[in-house]
Parts: sequence; structure tokens; C-alpha cells
Amino acid sequence: MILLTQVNHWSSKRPEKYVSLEGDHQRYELAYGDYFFLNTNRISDMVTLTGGGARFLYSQAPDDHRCSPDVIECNTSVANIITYADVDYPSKFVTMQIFPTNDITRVTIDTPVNTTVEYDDIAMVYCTPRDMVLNVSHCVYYRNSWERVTCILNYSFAQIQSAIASLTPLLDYDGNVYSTVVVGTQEWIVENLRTTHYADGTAIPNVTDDVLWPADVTGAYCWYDNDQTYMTPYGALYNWHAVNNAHNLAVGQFTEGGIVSVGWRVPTQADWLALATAEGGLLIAGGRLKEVGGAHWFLPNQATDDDGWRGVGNGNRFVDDHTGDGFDNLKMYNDTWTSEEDPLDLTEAYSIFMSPGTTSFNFWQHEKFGGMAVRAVRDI
Amino acid sequence: MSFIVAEVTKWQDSRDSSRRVHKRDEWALGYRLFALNPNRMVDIKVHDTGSCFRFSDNHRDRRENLSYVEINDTVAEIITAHDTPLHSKFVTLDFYPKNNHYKTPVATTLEVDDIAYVDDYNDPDHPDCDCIWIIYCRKGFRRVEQLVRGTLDTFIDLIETGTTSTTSTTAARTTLQ
Repeated sequence: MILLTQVNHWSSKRPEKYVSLEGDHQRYELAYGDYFFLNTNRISDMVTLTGGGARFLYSQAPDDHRCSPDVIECNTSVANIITYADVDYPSKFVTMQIFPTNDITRVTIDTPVNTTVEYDDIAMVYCTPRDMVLNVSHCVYYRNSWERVTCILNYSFAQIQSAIASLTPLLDYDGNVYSTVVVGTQEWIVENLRTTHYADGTAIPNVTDDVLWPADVTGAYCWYDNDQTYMTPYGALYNWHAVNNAHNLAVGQFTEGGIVSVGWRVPTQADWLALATAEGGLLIAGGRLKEVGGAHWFLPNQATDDDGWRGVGNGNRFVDDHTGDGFDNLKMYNDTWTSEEDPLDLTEAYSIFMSPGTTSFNFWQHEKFGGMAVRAVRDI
Repeated sequence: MSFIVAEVTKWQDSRDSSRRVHKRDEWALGYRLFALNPNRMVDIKVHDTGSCFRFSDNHRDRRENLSYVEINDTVAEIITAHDTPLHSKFVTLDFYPKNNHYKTPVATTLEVDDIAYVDDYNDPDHPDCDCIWIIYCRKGFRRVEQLVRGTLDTFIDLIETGTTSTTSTTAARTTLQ
């Protein structure tokens, strides 16, 4: 429910102003950019802004009828804000080290006191230039409907960011939630990618037409059988032009606790080989990486899913079947792109696949117009 | 916490718009359908074969007077609605700007729990118009009456499921053995 976001506009009827924007009558320079931790339970009337951010009313004191809501515009999408709102924390309370005095000049001689407050009562956390120097942050919370408390926390903004990130899931641009698994020295997203936007917010064209799909060279996605109900757990099918796109499909696609989760990329052939090697080699890695059972693979399915990587038979489009709508091999193959094209034949790019009848892990290649799944990986 | 679509037979409220169960509803059916937020109900009691309770349009505002409501639905049905999980804490609805259903609606997201109740659009000139009024609060600050595209059923679908049910030359493949 706590959201880290970059605020572009904040208008308030309160005398104090928090955002350093041109025209504010009282400027408050923030060394940490205009990043704030906000509480989603104070948001109402939220609309999507052109460019992908959100504008909403923000009630700092939601239980005080005298408190008119502020207007905030931020860079986080509506979908992501909703997802953060729906995150259940392990506890409703958080214990924070708070300096007993709010006199920032005395922070260094104060001894912080552990104080427990409800997450619901926190209105915002921010960081001033002096906070940066002292490795502390400011927090505003409400003791009750009308008593506003501004205090100084004994944590740097980065520490709070890290703590909140550990409580919140990995999200793509659309707000889809992904779990991750560590195999060897790599961290993989467990579900196939299902975002409909590139990392910079540009919409990926959803090409359903049978003729337009093989002709596309700018990047496209579709759902298997053009049916969105296949989104979970099979993910979307992307052509390779979407994988290799200047708007970035994986790099910068994911956020954690409201900040961009760094290091993610579409796996190279070397990444896939490292995964297969960590799972015991090409002959058995497929069995160890596939989801067990017949829900998403044809039976018999030789799978043990030892590390929870949960490979599923996502099928493909215009890969095995070049007629009609081109969809084929659901539950039969998990065709998934690499980020690399064939240097000897630039019409093709490399991919991998597994199948239910064997435990093998296979490298392959196909024309770039084929629709295949995408996973993301990063080094740890 | 979902909403209960209730047959409201009596709604006494101190606001000017207190005539929430219209005369023509009373004459035609004896009740009017509302989707009510169970979180706003207190002192729920059995009343005839249904129930009665006090209801707050804005439970965060201590100046708010509670209204008195009687419905044909039972206490058990209220509890069932309260215990039905939501798809998400937020819901996105198509708001008509200035409450004018001739304008293009704007998708607007708000917390489900901020909504007090939902009422059918009641324009006798447009009886078939798919519009509902949602009465919600901008937290404790202000009560808002907003015209929204949809019906009571699509609203319940949206908050419970997130959707509305009423809408619409390659190398040969070889595997390692």
C-alpha cells in the first residue's frame, strides 16, 4: 500500500508545499528528486495521464472532514498503483526509529526511539537535502483524524526504499505481478512476460490479423488464439521485432516498490545455456524446468520442476503452422525467444523450446515474425 | 467486502435528496433497488422478513447523521455480501463529466470502500439509459454524486471479478534425446 513515485505536480491548500516546482509560492528543494512514498489508501478520483502517469486526489488526512484533498500527478501508472494498493503486508503495523525531536539540527545528538505506527496512518515519506547529508528521512503520519505528526526517521531514503521493495512484488508496466526464482547465478521471472507495453510506456500493437502478423516488422504481440484468457499462465506471444525494440521490452520494464528494478533483460543464448547447465545440462534441464502435470502440457509430461521455474507449453504463432491464424502447439512446446539474431541469416533469431515427451532443453531458431513467449533474467 | 443489491422499502435521510425510494417505485414494486456498502451499516436488526439498519453516506465525517433504512433482504444476506471478497481495493468506472451522459465518459479509479451506495439512473425521459449514480466520498472531505456508465449488475461484476460479463520456411524441429 506504500508507493514510491516521482511526483510531477502537487497542488495543496496547505501552507506548506512539498514539491519544488516552478510557481510554488514556497519552494522546497528535494535533493532526491521529487520522489515521495505515498499511501494508496489516501487516493481517490484517479485518471490516466497522457504519457502513462496518473493524476489523483490525495487526502493527507482522510478522516478529517476539514482536510481538502491535494491534486497530485505522478509517473506511476494507474495499473501499478492499483497493484500496490492490493499488496497485503505481513502486518498492519510498522516499527520505525524516530528521533524524539523534530529539530533537524539536533538529529545527530538525539537517540532514536522505536515507535510503532499503522501503515494506514502514514501520509508520506520524503527526503530533504539535509536529510540526505544526515542519512535520515522525513515522515508524516496522523495520530488520529486531526493530529498531524511530522517526524524524522533514522533511515536513509534508500533504506526505506529497500524495505518497501522487499514487501512488494515485481510488476511490469501493466501492473502484472511476477514471482522470481534464483537458479545458479541468475534470477528469472517465473511467469512468461504478459505486458502490453514497452518499458517506456509505448503500447505494443496487438496484431490479431492473420495477414498482418507475419508481415509486421515493427514489433507486435498477441494472445494465443487471440483469446486473452490464455494470458495466465501462458503469457503473451511476441514477435522478435518486439523483443529487439528500441522502446525496450525487458530492460526497465519491471518495478519493485515503485522503483525500476534494474538488470532485467531478454536472455541471450549464453543466459539460456547457463540456466540449462545449472540444471544439469541440455539432456535433463528441460525436465527440471517444466511445470509438472497435465494442466499446461500434454501428458505424459516428463517434468519435475525442481526449482519452481514453471515452464509451460505456451505454443506459438506462425512457427509450426503457417496457415489460417497460425496458432499452434499449445501444451506441446514452450517456444521462447532469445535476444540474439542469427548473424548469418538476419531474417531469423534464436530461441529455445522444451516439449512434454522428453527432458531435453533445446536451442532453435526461427524467422523473426514467429510469435513466441518471452522470459526475463538478470544476474545476481 | 462486496456490495449487497438490496430491495430498499424505506430510506429516511436528513438530506434534501432524502426521497431515495421514489413514489413510483413504491407504487410499482414496493421497493427500489440499491447496491449498498455493508461497511456503512450499523445497528443491523431483523425487521419483518428483512432487516433494518442505520446507514452513513460518509462514515469518516463525524458531522454525518445516520439515515434509517429498511430492506427486504435478510441480515444473513448482508453478512454474506460483506464477507464476499473484492477483486481489488480499487475499481475503475466510466465517469460522465458534469454528470452528463451525452458527454464522453472518463475512466476514473477510486477505492471501492469510498463508495457508499449505487442507485439506478432515474431519468423518465431516458428509461433505457445504462447509467447509475454512485455516491462516494473523497475520503472524509466531500460526498459526491457521480453519474457512471453501467448497471447495478455490471457494477457488482466489476468489483467482484474485475470484469463485466455483459461486454465482448523454417528449420525442422528436433529435440535432444
